[in-house]
Amino acid sequence: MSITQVPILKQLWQRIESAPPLEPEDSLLLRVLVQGLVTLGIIAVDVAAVDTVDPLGISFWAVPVSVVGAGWSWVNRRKRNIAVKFCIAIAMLVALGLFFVRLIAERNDTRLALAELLIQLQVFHSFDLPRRKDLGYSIVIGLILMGVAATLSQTLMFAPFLIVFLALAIPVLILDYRSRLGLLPQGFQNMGADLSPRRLSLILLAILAVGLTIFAVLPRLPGYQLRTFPVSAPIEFEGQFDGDQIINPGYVQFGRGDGEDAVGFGVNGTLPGQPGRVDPNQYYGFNLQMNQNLRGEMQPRVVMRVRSQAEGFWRVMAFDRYTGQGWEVTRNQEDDLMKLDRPRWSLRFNLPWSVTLNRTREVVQSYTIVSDLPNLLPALYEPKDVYFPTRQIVLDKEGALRSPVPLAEGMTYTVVSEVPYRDRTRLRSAPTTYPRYITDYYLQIPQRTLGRVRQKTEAILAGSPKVLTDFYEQSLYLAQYLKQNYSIQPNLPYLEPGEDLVEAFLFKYQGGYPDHFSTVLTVMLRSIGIPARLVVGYRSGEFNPFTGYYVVRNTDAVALTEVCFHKYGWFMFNPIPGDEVVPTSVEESQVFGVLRAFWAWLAGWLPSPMVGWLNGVFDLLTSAFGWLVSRLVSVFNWGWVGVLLGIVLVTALVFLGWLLWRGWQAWRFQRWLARQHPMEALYQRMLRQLSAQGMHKAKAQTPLEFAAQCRGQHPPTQAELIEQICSAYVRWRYGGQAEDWAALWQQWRSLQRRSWPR
Amino acid sequence: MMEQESTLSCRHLNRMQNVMREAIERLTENLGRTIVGKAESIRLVLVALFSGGHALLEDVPGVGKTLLAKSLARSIDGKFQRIQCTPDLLPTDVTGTNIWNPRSGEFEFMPGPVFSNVLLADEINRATPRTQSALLEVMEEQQVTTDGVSRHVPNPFFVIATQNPVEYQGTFPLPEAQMDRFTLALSLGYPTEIEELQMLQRLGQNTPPEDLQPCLSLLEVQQLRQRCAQVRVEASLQQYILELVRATRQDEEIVLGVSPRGTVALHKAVQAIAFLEGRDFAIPDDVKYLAPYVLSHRLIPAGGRKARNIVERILWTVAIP
Repeated sequence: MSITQVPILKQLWQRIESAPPLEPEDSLLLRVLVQGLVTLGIIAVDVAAVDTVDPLGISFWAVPVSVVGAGWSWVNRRKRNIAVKFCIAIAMLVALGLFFVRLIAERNDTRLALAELLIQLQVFHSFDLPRRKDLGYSIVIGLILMGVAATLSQTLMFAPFLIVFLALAIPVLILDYRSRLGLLPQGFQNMGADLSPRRLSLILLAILAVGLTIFAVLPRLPGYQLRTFPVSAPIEFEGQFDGDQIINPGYVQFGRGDGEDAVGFGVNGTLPGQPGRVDPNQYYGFNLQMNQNLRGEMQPRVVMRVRSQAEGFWRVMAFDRYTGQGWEVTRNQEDDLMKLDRPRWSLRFNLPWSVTLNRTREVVQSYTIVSDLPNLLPALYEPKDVYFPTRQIVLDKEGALRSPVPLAEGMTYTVVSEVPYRDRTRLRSAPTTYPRYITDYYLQIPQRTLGRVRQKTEAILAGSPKVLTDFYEQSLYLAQYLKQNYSIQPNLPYLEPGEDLVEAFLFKYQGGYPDHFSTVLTVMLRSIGIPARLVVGYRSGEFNPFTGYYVVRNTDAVALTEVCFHKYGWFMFNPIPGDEVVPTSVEESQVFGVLRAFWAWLAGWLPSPMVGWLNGVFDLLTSAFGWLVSRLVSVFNWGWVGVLLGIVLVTALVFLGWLLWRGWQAWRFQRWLARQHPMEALYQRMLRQLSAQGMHKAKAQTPLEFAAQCRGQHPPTQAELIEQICSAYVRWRYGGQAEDWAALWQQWRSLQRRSWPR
Repeated sequence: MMEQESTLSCRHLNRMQNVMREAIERLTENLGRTIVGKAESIRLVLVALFSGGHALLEDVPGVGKTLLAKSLARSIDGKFQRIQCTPDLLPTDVTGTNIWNPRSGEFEFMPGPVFSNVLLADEINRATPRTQSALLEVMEEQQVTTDGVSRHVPNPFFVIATQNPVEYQGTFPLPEAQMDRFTLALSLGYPTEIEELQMLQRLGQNTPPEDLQPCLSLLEVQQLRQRCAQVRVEASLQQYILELVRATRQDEEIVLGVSPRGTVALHKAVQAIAFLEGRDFAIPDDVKYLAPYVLSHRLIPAGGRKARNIVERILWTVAIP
């Protein structure tokens, strides 16, 4: 007995046999455009991947093979291709198996593995695309690939791909829709108005405008990200990692900027006062010892890109001991360093973080290294979780994170920080007595310097118009004082042997390098008993509103002063001229911050007079609005009469706003009417006037139906005129007949004057 | 010179148009002499006639369907035939067949009832699907093919088919593909009380259809059809027709929407009604008036809903151009 004789199978077989053959998709234009979408998606992934990992190079084989597949599929679209289907299924299963293997091996970033799987599936599937639904699958794959490319991309290189993708996707959707209706011609036949370049361009522009608007006003709410963060592939470090060394590729020994054979292991600074030149690429402060007797400047270049929920200072490390001509980290022994291990199955390190009385906010930051950096992990203070590729990292006493390997180009890691809010009132009330573990380290100053510096600091504070009693206000005042009374000296000479940097700054040169301001502030604060340390890191960098990344350059590296407020933690002060005295923090990060960042970016391109003018207009509007609101609020404070008056004022304002809105609409309507045929203008005017009287014409109502509706609701003369106008309009509109619109217009005007309010 | 010629040709056209419209008025008047009331139904049947289509009357017996068909045939001086459809009716009973003539010693073609100008196919859903499709084929092709020989049916050829919408026992309902062949589906319905009283009063002096004087020639009917096809339908109005039809294809309450043949039928019907109304251009009101009659019978509503209600709803959602 044949298998098809089994009753159920027989029935099924008969049903398959009697089923009508499925119609293949004959539109070559649709097929070519869909192939274009897929090709674009593949190339976009390849190009975007360059930003994070080594180039995949998948386009080199995937694009030509999928084109061949699509061609083969077109030729054989009417055949059943059973053998090919089997081969495709097997190949797809193999690809899926390899994907799972890779998924287990690389737990760090699954996006690329997924993208490669999708590309492989699409390439196999391109050999069997007989029908529209198969092309639909390809369209979706193209879209997903663009999505993957978007998540990988960190530069504006993705933008042209996105625009071209949109430009292709619009005709594809139109053709697909027509195909569903069975209206699609075969081959490359002309589609007429549906695919006219003008129409497509207008649609594209409209989509881009809407998309950019949504992107700009989209709220950046914290916590919208998934808890799987971008991290590079795991790195197995071979060797002993103690964490007591800092590998700065730019510095070898003695703070000299020899550069080329830079293989030092943080042993520089054995002679910290030795004069020298700064390395053009690497910041001199990322070392165990910081020699501030170096001169020169760095050549700007991008070192990393940061995607963060809030702007901030990407803190790298801090120093506790002032040497007279620089700084050093004193606690660098094995007992001082906390070695952290992560489990094999996870890339996450849990960090101990300080208990504080302050409110904090969680901020997620993903760092992608663009050029080689020391083995120090920039992070917003204070990190609580780090997702990093190595098995171990070290946390030192100054809150710096050290990796076993230098941060190489292409490396990606993520940090989750609890950033404290800077509540001035609370910080002012912080206790001024500190435990030994603070005072022992953060009040240190060389004895020979202490006297003069303290005297100078006290003299400055005494000059304050108000008596400053708390540490916060004193720190702020001193930072502001340095910023305003001392200047940056680009041609600062070397310090003489034994000469103190702070004394030279305050009493000899009246200024110094930007980092010297922070050193001076730190030492001055210490001199009056405020615990402080020098912190080094990167400013937030330039925000690109399109990619959402902060682009950080080596020249953004800077030293700031960190002041300890007991029970509240460490807070930074920036005494460098030209910078904000309080560095950017989570307070400035707002839900619609991207809009402001976008304006800042746009303003960078506009001529400064125009920016000034626009800023003036914005300021005027804002201040006028603020003035209005404050007046209203003050009126409400006058008791019952004030409340009543306030309500009247608000109502009057709303009414005024409504009148303005109506005026605006009326003006636009008049402009539109001016461009219309007089008959159309007369008819539209009549409709508008009747609408104002409560006689709305429904969109699906014909002019004659509307006239009939008016008949019962208006006096006979008016109803008759409405009917005449509607009839004339219908004859003109659909019959192409010339109508005496002038006479009708006259009648309408005279009737208006007589009986209807204007 | 050119201007003079143009004015003359314009005058000639207007005169022609007036003559045609007078003829239609005469026709409507003639039909009104035998049929009491039903002015709207008469108008719709004329729309079907002048748009080159056929009409389906879904009605209970005894409301004047035969009378209407006979009167129409008489008024246009055409040949009238009637088929009473039953399950034993054969396709050849409709189309005609070859019969052996012993005198001439040859097969001779005996034309069936389709060789007429107005054909009433009464209770079409009682005929078997085979016979139905034979008739529907003639309606579409306007010709009969017997033993390899094709014969054209007279021009104009207009079918009025009827079916009883209440009684379905022993019937073979027309499939949608065949319903699609009818330009319009309408119902005469029962007369109003006044009309029925008028009917009774006229009993004695009623004019039988046979006594009606023809008021249009068959040639004039053909010319009128050509005139209707020349009625202007503005591009935006054509778009409106398309949007209506497309709306039926996308509506969730409709399983099967209107076919492109339905689109063409609506277009032609709109031209015909515009002409009957004395216009040389169509307006949205024409489309809205005819859409329920032209579209409802062409679609399959989902879940027992009424097609007519769905079409009415669509008409109130699609914007007028």
